[in-house]
Amino acid sequence: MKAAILLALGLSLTPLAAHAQDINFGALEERANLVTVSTGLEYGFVFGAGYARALSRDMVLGGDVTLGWAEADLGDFRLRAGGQARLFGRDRWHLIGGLAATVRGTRNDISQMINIGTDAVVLAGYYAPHWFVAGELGFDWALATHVTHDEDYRMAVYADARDGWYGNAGGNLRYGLQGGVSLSRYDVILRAGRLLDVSGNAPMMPIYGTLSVGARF
Amino acid sequence: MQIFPAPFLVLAGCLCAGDPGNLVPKTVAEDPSLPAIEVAGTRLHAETFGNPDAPIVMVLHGGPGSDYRSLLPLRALADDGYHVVFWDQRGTGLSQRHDPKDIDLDVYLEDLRLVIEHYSSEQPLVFIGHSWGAMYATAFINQYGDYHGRIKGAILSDPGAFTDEQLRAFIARLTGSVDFTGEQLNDALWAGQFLSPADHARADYQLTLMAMRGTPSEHRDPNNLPPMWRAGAAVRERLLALADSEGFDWTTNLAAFSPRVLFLRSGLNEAEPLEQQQELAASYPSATIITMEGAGHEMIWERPDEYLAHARAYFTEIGFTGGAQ
Repeated sequence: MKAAILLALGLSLTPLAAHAQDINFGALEERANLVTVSTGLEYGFVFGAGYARALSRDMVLGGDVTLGWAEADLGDFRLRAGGQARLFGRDRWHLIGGLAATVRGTRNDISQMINIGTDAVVLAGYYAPHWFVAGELGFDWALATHVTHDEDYRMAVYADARDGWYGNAGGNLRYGLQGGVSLSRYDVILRAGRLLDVSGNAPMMPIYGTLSVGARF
Repeated sequence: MQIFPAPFLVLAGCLCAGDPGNLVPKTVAEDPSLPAIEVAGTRLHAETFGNPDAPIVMVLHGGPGSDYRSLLPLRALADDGYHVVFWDQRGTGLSQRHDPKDIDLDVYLEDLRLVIEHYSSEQPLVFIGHSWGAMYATAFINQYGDYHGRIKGAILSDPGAFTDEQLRAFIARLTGSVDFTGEQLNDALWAGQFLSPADHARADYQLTLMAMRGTPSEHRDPNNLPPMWRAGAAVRERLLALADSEGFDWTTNLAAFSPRVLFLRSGLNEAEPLEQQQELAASYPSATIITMEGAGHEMIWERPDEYLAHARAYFTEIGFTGGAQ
């Protein structure tokens, strides 16, 4: 219940709109709606779904939800809401920036965690109506994480572990490539790259890679 | 190194994940009330049981990067007249943390030698090494032999490897039992979004998430988890990286070690099967293997009475008797 309240609070603080990182701006039409489903490896095996709306050919608002599919674990989730906008463009070369608010949760052997953060991304690439390729540079910042320790952790490891909000708990820089094809009203987009944590080291899962399929209507 | 300056980003009123005492307990460097000794420029969490003038049972915990808390049932040996020594190795448990670049196997071997000397410069001793601790004991014996006649024997429980080639095979068996789409691993990966291992406290906390239930091959009792003080992530990563990059062979001088060694193994452990323990035991001129049937890797914690009975029988066989010498 407490987690649900935190979740609702987090969502209410964000603009109800968009982050869809998987967009071919070359195929974007004004007032288009986009729905996407995706799967892949991003801090574990995940699947997700998103919705976005193009306010213009230069700006998209939307959101997505991601779940771990290891054991259909609803305790591990991520919600993002934000937007992407074309910052600069010449012919089919574009620089795109995006910003999203993030709320995510996890329940594991030692604790339950809820995190509020932000995700910023810059994409630079060639966007044609039927295909695109772009470089991706992003930073996913864990602004504050609420930790509630599990009884097993207190029994077996540290009885006095402190529950509460932890500030500046972490973050991961990502860099990679994304590309896709757009046929009719459908997009198929691949993203892949590497991760570095805030200490400059590769995290336990040092790479990411997702495949998404989207439809525009 | 942090990419962003922490003071700028820390939110007012929030706890700091890197501060000791929040997510993980303080070490002896931060809490002077903890039992500790100082050797070779470091402060080690250590405690002993029994008569300080008695023969020493030197307990070496697993890991690297674990601690001695789950081995404390062995303190019962103090009632038999032994001086039982427990200590957390450099950089792990509640011992002081260091820059991992300053740690290597030579530092670890010198630490062990100085811990022995700290407690006595003349008493005979026997090692009880669990998992990595059994490898550590072997590395020491390979370096120092019977250490001026003082090492009377060793109980080695589930050592993983004595050479880098054996280590690669061991790790393959260990990780082969992990379900890469399973919840335990994916929980640990998912947690990478919430906390980054930017300091010892956060790194140790993350390692605990991976380590608390062990790997399936170890067959831990889920209803009787082995306790631990605090994981040591940096030293674990450092020693494993060195083993991989530099290689090792701790069998080169074992032929000169005459005391009989007991390999006391867990029967359920799939990462260290009987054939592998036989291969390791063959490096010693005199070794016996006893299997605790039905026991998992955490056999000292889960089956202390049975383990102690084997240890006592072994001490009797090799003539290692308790009481002040």
